[in-house]
Amino acid sequence: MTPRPTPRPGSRSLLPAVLVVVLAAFLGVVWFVTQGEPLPGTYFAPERSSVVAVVVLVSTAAWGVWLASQQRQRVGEVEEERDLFFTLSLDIFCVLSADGRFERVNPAILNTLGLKPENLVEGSSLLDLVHADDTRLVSRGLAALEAGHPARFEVRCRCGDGSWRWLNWSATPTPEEGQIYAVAHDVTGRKHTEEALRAESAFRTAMEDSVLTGLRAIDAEGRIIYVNRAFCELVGWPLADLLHKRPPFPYWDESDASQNEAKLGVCLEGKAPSEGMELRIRRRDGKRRDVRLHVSPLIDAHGDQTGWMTAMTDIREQKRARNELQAANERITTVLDGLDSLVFVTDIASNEVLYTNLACAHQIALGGANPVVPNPDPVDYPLDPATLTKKDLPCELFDGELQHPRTGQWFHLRERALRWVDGRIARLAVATDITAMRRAEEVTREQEASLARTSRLITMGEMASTLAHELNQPLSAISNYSKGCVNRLRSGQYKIEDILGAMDKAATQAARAGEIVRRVRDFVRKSEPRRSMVSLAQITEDALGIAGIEVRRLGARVSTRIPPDLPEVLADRIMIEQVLMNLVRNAAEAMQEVPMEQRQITIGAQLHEDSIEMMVADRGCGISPENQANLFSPFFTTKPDDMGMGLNICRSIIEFHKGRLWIEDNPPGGTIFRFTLPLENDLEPEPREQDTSPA
Amino acid sequence: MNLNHANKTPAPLEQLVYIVDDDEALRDSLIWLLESAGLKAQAFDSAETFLTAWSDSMSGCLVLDIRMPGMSGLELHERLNAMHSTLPVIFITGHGDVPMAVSALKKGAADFIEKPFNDYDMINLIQNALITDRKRHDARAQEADAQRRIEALTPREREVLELIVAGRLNKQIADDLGISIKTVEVHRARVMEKMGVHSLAELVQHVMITSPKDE
Repeated sequence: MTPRPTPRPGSRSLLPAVLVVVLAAFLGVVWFVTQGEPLPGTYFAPERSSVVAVVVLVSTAAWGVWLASQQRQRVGEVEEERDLFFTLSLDIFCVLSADGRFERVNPAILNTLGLKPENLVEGSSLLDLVHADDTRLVSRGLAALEAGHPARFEVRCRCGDGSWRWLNWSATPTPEEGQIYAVAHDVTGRKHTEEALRAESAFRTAMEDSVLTGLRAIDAEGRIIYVNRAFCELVGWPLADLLHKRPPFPYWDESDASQNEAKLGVCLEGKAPSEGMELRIRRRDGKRRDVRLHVSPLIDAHGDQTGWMTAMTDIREQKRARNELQAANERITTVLDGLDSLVFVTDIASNEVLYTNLACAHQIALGGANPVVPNPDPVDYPLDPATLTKKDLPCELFDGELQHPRTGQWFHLRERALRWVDGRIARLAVATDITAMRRAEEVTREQEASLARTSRLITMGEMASTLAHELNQPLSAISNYSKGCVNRLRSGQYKIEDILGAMDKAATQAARAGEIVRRVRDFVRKSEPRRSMVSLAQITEDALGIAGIEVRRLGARVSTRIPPDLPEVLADRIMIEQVLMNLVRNAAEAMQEVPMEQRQITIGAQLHEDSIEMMVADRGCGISPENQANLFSPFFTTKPDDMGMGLNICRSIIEFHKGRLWIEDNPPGGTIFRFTLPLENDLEPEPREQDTSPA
Repeated sequence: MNLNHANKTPAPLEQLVYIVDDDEALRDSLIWLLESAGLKAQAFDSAETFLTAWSDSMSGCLVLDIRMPGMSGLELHERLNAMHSTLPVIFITGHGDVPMAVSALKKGAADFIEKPFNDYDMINLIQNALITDRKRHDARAQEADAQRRIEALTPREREVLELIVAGRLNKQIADDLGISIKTVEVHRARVMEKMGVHSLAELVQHVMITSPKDE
């Protein structure tokens, strides 16, 4: 660094020195003049005067020369000082021609713009440096300078590396020299700060204006020092009516004033609850609004609290939404809780129960620790629920029927993976108890099976009919052949060959009859009944299950009187069921002529020593004695559209079981069918060849 | 004339027992039985074959199985009725066919017999049926004869016949027709001769045979 030159004392001590010299010279002159021959009347001596004059002249000239050299020395010092300043200044100093060309530039331009002064001086103009958008400012400045006025302008100037810097130019013209002295100060940093500030400010304003939350700042005394637009809109008062107001605020409801005061007091004490406070305000238009206030301390730049910032939100919409949500929730809950199906949601990962409907909660309460609904076998899932990701949702997991291993209940279970309200992956399961349905299906299946067997029995009936018809053919033929022979032999007019031929044919027909009988026996053997220990109460119930529909259709009622402790009997369940069905149906049909209220069927059972006696009684018109005799013959019927096989088969079945089926009059009117089934039914009939009962 | 001859000694009628049954053994054995009783029989294995062979001139009786595959016995009976067959029909029924047989009787069947049947009953029924057939046949022959005789009359004679049958006296007839009594008497004698009768009663009987029954 160049040492700064100390100021010289010369210029200041020069004047007393000069005064001393002048005074001394004057005194010398006066003394010298007075020492000579004075002119008459005066003290003036002329010979001495010329000497004085010369001395004065010489000394005056010497003084002048000295003064001049002093002056020159001073100018040199100033210029030297100026040059030093010019060179060392951080600001750009330059001397421009009137048209803005650089004539001299200090080295600061190198630091500021990265340009070498010597490059600029070679004919560059200030305008060459300036940003195109700013040249107008510069031109205007130059024009002012030309008119002899100083000019200031802030423009962007290009740096050596192509970047731009903001320079604040200050220029003064020197018309006598035709030059412009200009100083440029780098204000880029300030400019940036300003812009950032402006942007920040605009951002804040936009933010404050755009938030729907009303913002209000109060100072420590409760005076409003700031409100945003949303606040004004919320309370319905213009900014001017709010700013600098002290409580009670214009938007307070008079009736709540004391309460509001208290709440404000709480705020000012810094005890406002973090979840906010609810407040009812009264807008300028008189409407009331529910709002929620959140209060936080207002801290200034020095970290000191200067007041409180309050955020105010309109909770009317919130309240409405909340009410609606609650109503919707209630509706859904009502629906879900009204379901018989069990609805529950569990977390797939942890199996934590997230939701249960009422039915499910009930079951859980009843079932204790046991799972209420059986879980599907993991292999039944189409994919491992544990590997599910959120993008797979929602997806079907399971849809099937499962039996509860412990209770035996059947459930139709449907599972879906879905995104639970909190974002977790959850399993929604809807389980419907279908045990009753399954049971009904089983009953239906059983009934179908029994119907199949019934039709087998009907087939047996038809078989018997066909058998009769088929046997008739060979029997008739045999009879014809034999009688033909007899007639011929008797008359004596015959040829022995003819007789033999006819006898042969008769034998063939006898063989044909035998073949038919064998076929029937085979059929009967194939459809051998299956006996097991059965409960007559159960059989009765099953039979009524099937025949009941028909009976009700015919307007009859059935009452059952079967002792609960009746022992089981060895029988073919389906066959006995068939007998009961037949008897019940007959009973109902027999009462078509009697009044509705009399159509009563009674089924009873009675335990005898070695058998059980069942009875089916109706209150119909009874059966005449001659019809009773024929009742069990095949094809007998009193009904025009009946095959007449029923009772015959019934009797066959009972007799097959070593029981008996008979008929009695019902004393108050109607008929009673009774049959017995032996208790000691260990005499399983051996299929003996000659024992083939006529079907 | 041959007309007279026909009236006095009827030609021996060739009667046949027609058997229609789908069972071959039954047909064969029935023929065997009937022949032992001196009856001639002809068997058909279905209603259809019989229907094809049927002609109005068939005489005898029809033994018909009520149940057959294809056309049933009942149906065949109805067809024959529709064709004005006079052949008496005996139905053979099996179990449970009784109501059917009854309705067949109502439609004019001669009788029915249930399988298996007694040979005596069967032959009896057939012989009754043959007698019925013969009677019907004779009646029909008589009717045809009377018809032919009437057709042989001249228009005037037919007018006179009608008036005689209506009970008019000769004199009245003469007045009705505007002819003389003498002429009426001649016509009357001609009519009596042509109709081959000797008394008024006989003449009326002959005319009654030919007149349509529903009139």
